[in-house]
Amino acid sequence: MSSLIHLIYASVATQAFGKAQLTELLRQARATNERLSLTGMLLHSDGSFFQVLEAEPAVVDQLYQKIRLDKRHEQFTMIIKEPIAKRSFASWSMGFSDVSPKELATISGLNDFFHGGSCFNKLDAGRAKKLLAAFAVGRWRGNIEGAERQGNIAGAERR
Amino acid sequence: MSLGIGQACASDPSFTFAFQPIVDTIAREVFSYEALIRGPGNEPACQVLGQVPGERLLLFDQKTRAVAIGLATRLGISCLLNLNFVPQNLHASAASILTTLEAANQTHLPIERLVLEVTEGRVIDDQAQFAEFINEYRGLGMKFAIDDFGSGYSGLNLLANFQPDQVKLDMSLVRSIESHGPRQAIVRAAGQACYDLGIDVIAEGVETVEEYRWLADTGVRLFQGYLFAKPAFECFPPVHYIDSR
Repeated sequence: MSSLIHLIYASVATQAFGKAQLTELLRQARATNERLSLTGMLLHSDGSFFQVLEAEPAVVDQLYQKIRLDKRHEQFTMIIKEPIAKRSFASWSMGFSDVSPKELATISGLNDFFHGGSCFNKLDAGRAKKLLAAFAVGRWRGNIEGAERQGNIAGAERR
Repeated sequence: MSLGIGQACASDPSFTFAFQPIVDTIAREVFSYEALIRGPGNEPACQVLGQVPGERLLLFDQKTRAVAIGLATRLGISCLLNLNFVPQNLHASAASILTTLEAANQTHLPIERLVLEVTEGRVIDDQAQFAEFINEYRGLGMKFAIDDFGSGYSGLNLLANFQPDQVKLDMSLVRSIESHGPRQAIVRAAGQACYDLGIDVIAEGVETVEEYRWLADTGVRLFQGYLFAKPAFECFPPVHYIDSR
């Protein structure tokens, strides 16, 4: 039986994240993750983070505890933690994208999301993708101005 | 002999399956087929199950799912397959799930295509324990649906312990929803919670264009009901899609 889980959380940055800070954050994450056989993705949009962690349960739990101690972000919301049959981001020690909320909101299928070396190329219609879609229309974005909290179930998908 | 008739043992009634599509009205394609048990002459489910002695029900239930998988495979299923599941206790359920996995392996149906539908009432007895049990099988790729959501004692709080792959809104919520405020409020809240948790919402028992339009405008895109297709005996029926406005 598989012992993979994913943990998906959202958080809010405590400081402005410019290109330099993000690059440093990723460099650190990727080095650790490769060693731990941890895969996933990290999305930053205007002060909000959305991260998917995929690994064995103990590895994910330990890392999440560590992440929560990181003063660079706060307001952690663990959205889901559950077993998975296979990794959604198998070839990514941490896929990453930094997009403006406007860009995020206009992304329709999310498949061409990380264009160029796209870690979303073959992302199946599983939980990670659906939660990402929810994040894209403003859910789980803490106290960020402009985050859409009202509206219909599927947010932007109103016809 | 008919295509998929099975019999768990000599004393059990013969049975086969009808299939009803769950349609994605935005992609305009079949999202899944639900296998519904029938008698060999298309007799309704209750008539078949009524003939099974109580102590054999669990074994019968197991056997029927294997037949449903075999039949769906022979019909060339290329989407999800929703199967009903009667968990009586967790121990018995484990054996029951294993035989279902075995049947999928034998017919080379990927386990990721299987969705076990559990009714709300069955789940709520011990939610936390049930969640733990179910999660073991999710690690293998099997999917789970909460059936008849909104018909029983539980509701949204169920999702605090267990986040299924699908929630099927009970037809009692769907009926005449376009003119019924309380139902609208419940469906909106349930839909929002499911969306935020990455759970697919399926509206069951949709019979009128008005019900469909209200639900579609609220963001529901998966539908099951007579409006789109009735259950079809031992085959996958054609789907009637409603034109968008």
